[in-house]
Amino acid sequence: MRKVFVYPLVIAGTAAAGLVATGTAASAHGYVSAPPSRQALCASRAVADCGQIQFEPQSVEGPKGLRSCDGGVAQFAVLNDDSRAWPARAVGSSVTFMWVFTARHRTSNWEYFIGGTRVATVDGGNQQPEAVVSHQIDLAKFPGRRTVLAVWNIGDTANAFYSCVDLNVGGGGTPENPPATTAPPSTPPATRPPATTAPPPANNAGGTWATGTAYKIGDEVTFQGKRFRCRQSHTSLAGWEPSIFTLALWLPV
Amino acid sequence: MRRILFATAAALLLATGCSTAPSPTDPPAQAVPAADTIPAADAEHNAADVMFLQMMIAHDGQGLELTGQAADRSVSEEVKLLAAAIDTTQREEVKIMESWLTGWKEATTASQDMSAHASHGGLPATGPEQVKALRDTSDADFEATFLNLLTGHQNSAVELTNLAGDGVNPQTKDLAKRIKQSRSDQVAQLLRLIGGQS
Repeated sequence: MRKVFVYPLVIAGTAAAGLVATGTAASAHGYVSAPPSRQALCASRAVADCGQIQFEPQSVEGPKGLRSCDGGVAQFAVLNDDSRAWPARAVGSSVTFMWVFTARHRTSNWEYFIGGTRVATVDGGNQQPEAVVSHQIDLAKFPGRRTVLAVWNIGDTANAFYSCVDLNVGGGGTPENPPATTAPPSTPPATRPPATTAPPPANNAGGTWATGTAYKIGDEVTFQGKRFRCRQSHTSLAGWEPSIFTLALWLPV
Repeated sequence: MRRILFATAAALLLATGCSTAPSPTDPPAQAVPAADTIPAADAEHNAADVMFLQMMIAHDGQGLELTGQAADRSVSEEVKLLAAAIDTTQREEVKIMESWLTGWKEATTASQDMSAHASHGGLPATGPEQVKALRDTSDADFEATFLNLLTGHQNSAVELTNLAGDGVNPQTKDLAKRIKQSRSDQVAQLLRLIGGQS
């Protein structure tokens, strides 16, 4: 991962050429993963009941020039709903935005807006994005609770991808503010717990198999009337139920 | 020893009618499959089933190129465990899918002509360039790069499962549903790790 400021991304021509053949479909997709965008909060289930967007946070695509969080896509309108009390991540005055891609289209540029103001533009050089793209953006002039609209403008289509990121921009934050070490909001909304906190894996070992549980090698569970023993430590999830399809995780006993 | 006793007891229960009779589709009395058991698929299938399985095998293979790197690098214990669990389940999944395709006398690899699949979302979602970029990433940036790459990769696996919608093989459809669930939940875990919320 290379931090990009204002200069164009550079990609070796040969590396880019290898991907052109697969990029012909309108399958360019991406979103801001950190600080978590609204669609990332839906996909991580930190915000519940988001609808279809939880399965495809990368799909908020609309014509260039929009200033809405949902890219004008009706089924993603929840992203525009400020009444959802999206949790705002506490950050310093300089924020590193990271992007996730499921397809790497040529990029015109990335733009960041607060309200109607364009805060920053990062040139994409009409190249394909690097493996991971991160942009460090100075938000010192915008302290407090803010919604940043991050836009990925595609180079060879008329479309863009939109991500809204809710922040609480702190005064005098450190210049570098890697998301992984960002402190939780010091004043979380009174009406709800910090919604970006994942539920801690429950210790349900020995009981009935359940999702969101940290199982260790040797733990035994019951699932659909059968006993299974864990052979690969993991935090359980839907689709990893003990069965003949997951013998790498669970063996019947 | 314990396993044998349990199996015997289960078989006795079935034989004596003390438990619910197995449905006709259940496998007979082998209550304890071996670790290398591969579930069977019905013979009936169509081109959509084949394409989905071929593309999913390729996609899983690219994912393994990512998860394999986490084992040797400096990452948090939670990231290491998630990577290992994804690695081992996807290896198993590939074996199952290959076995079904082989049983149908179909190729296990997708067409080399990637453009033929481009209308279905492109192949692969993660290419050699990204795998190499991850390998070349410094220790300081490895975890964030790994998590973001794998998140996008599993996001696109969810997209791929749409291909199975036109299929007819019930086991393939069931697998697609399982992949959509598991990849969505993995993305949830990955995004929480990216956000430093674990």
